[in-house]
Amino acid sequence: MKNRLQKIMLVEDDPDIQLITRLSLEIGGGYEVLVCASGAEAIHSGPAYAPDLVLLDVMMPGMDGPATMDALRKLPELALTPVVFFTANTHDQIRQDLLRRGALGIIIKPVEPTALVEQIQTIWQRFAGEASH
Amino acid sequence: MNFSFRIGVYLVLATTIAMLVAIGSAYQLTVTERVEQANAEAQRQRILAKLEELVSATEKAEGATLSYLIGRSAQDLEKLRQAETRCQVEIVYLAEFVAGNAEQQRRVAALDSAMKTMMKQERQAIAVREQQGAAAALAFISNDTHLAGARDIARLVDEMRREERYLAAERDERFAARTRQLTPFTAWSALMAIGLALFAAAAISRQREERRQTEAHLREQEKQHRLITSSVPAMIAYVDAQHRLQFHNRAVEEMLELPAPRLDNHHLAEVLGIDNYKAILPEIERTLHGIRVEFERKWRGKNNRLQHLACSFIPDFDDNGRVRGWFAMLIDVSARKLAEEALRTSEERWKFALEGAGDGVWDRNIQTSEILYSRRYKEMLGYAYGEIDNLREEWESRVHPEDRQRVMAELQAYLEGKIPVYASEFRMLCKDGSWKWILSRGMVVSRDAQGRPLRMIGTHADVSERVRQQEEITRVNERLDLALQGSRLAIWDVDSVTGSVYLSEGWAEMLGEVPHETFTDSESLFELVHPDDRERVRDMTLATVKGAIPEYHIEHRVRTRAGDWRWILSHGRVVKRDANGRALRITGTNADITARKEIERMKNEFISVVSHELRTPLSSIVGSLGLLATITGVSEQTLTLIRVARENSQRLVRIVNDILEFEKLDSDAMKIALEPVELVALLTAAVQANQGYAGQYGVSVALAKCQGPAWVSANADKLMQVMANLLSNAAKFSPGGARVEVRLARMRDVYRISVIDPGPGIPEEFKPRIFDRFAQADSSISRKRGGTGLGLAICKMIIDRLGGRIGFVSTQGAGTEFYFELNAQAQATRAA
Repeated sequence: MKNRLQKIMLVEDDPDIQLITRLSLEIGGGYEVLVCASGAEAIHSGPAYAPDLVLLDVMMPGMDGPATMDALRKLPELALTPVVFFTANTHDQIRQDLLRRGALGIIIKPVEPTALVEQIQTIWQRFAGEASH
Repeated sequence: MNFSFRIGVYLVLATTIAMLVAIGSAYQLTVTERVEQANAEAQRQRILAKLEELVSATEKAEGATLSYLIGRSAQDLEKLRQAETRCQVEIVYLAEFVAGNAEQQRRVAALDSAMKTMMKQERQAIAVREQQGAAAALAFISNDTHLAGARDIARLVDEMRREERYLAAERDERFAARTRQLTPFTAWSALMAIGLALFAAAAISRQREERRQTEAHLREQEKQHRLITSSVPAMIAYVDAQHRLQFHNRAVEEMLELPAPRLDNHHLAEVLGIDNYKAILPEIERTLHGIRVEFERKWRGKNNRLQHLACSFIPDFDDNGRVRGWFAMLIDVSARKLAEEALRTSEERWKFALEGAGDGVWDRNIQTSEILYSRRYKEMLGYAYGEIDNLREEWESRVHPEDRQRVMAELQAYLEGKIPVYASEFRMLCKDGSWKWILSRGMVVSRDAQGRPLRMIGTHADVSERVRQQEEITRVNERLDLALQGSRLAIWDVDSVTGSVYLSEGWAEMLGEVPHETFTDSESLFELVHPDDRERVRDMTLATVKGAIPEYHIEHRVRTRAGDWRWILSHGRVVKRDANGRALRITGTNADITARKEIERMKNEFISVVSHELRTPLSSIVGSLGLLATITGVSEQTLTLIRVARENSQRLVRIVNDILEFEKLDSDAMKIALEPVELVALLTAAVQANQGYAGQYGVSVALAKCQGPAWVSANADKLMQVMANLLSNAAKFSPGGARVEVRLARMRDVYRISVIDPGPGIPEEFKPRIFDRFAQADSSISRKRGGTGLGLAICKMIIDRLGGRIGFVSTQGAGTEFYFELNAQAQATRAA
């Protein structure tokens, strides 16, 4: 387990958000980002890319976020990779469901580029701190 | 035999008279004259004796009175009464003895009057003694009026004695004169007398033997009669025309409690007592006129026992058809009378009881169609007692025409034994023309040998009020049913003692069954509740039953007949408890809220969709502007434009967030999970988290010194949200360099959290709607400060949901304090 976050796999169907988010993470956080436009693409590309963290949109056509997470968990290379959901839904119930299913964190859209980077860092630090114990 | 003997004697006398007439011309002295002389003397002696006794009795009366005036002894009163009775008896005797002497009769009447006057005086003396004392009473008896009575009696008695003496002397003189006249014929007389005596002696001697035999026979007969009459339970007596008792049987002795010697040959007035004697005198008179008399009379014996006697007086005629006496036969019918009396009393009692209870009573003779109606019966219909005749028609004609046929049929069915009891309700016409509902109940109380009813008694109860109430209940029920149908509500009613449950029609309808009222038990009802909801339902119900909460409102699912689930809103409360507070009846309503739940679901879905559809493009805008702001080397103007776009996009995000938050709270969809929250820690964190935001306005935030731990049951996230709202407001409205203070204080059972700013205060006209949605005092501020107008509305909603209270104190120009209060918890216990 790496202590430093380097590679993020972003799974997001909206091209605009793909761009903004990728730029925010690359420019603001200095991370390396692989963008996948769907769950299927993530399952396909994920094992080879071997990201440190997956940033996963919830509402996507076809396979949605939670389903994608379940599918990724079944891949040996990604079974332990932390997943952070990226959603516009603020329902407490839904958020709680996601956390219960094993999400490391939830980032609510819309979010300022700097705030996005800050939130990712906070979530990662907590994860890394727990993992190091 | 006796008869022929008497004829013999008469023959001798007749012969003697004939001889004397023949021999001694005008001078005759007969045996009859001597006998009369002897009889008159005997009568005189009797009168004198009675006068003697009368005087003695009056003296006794006076003595008893005097003694009573001094000693007030009840015995003296009794003595006085006895003396008075004695006087009355003696006067009756005297009246009889002096019959034929008008002068003496007048005196006896005067004696009677004087005696009564005297007795009246004695009683007055006693009255004076009772009211005014001994001295006054003694003075009373010493006065002339009082003494006059006694003087009169003494005078009259003296007069009577003198009269009798005079009469006797006259008789003696007459007799002596006759004797003197007869002297020359004495020898003749003697001779003749001897002859006659010899003849008579022979006749008598012959007859004596016959008479002796006859008397022996008579005695034997009388003995037998006595034996027979003694063994008869009836009282039998023979009384002669002079009212003297000549014969009686033992039963008479027992009744009168007198020995035989004090009965036979005594006057009835003496035997029975003067009052009793007077009471039956009319019957005696009629009997003596030859009429057989039968009557009943009460007799109070000496031991004070009341007897009812059935009396027959049968006249006894002599050969000439004259009444010479009468037989009296008396039978004790007390037992029968007592039974009759008891029956009458018991009937009176139950009639009285029924009437007292407000019921009218009727008593019908089925054979004659006569019905006795009680007073209350008639009053019930507005009539006075005499206004309704005791006829069956009186009842029938008053029964309402619509009820008459039914009522008659019911009565007939009862009389024929087809139904076991007669009870019928019908309307009856009152005197004032109104109708009253009557409950008539009755039963046959006697039947003839063939079992046909003879007598029926019953009651009438006025049930108008009950019928009216029933009608009212029916009307109310109809309205309720209509209301329930309209509102799609079902009523339930649980008897917690038996566990039985009543469910109104609506319930069956709700569960997809044929509408009907249902009775079930609480356990089967509980099984219809969705398994996930059961614990909640049970907890709420128990809390209500135990009285921990006054009533409950709970939403839960129930299984329909088809097997799917419907949402219902159930309200319930205990409507009856016993003396120990134990719930006896719990009742409430169930409303089908499935449709509402569906709308809620759709609304939630809508919110989710809107959230996503609005936020996704906003994400791109906010993100792009955020990235643009980091680019260097652009003109100042460009940067300004980017800043404006960025600030407005951020504001848009906040508005969208607030609207969604508000909707979530409003739609009930968001359940706030309660947990123990420690306020000192929470407030410290809130102050820290909002310090940065406040800094933008040049305002500092500080938590005033407070003592912890301070536990409440709340939700930390929601409280943070409230604090963020209140602190951002305070920062926005405070002048630069100002200090916003957060305080925590314990006030009895609650903790009060305050956020105090030194801002301009809240305008008076805005205060009433400060917690309304989109309420802002000045729209320019919202633009300038970036508010949405939903912050305080959301705060209020959250605090309400947490069971707390939110408010503010603000003085224009002197700052504002926003506060909220939450119930304090003793320790960090998780809410159940």
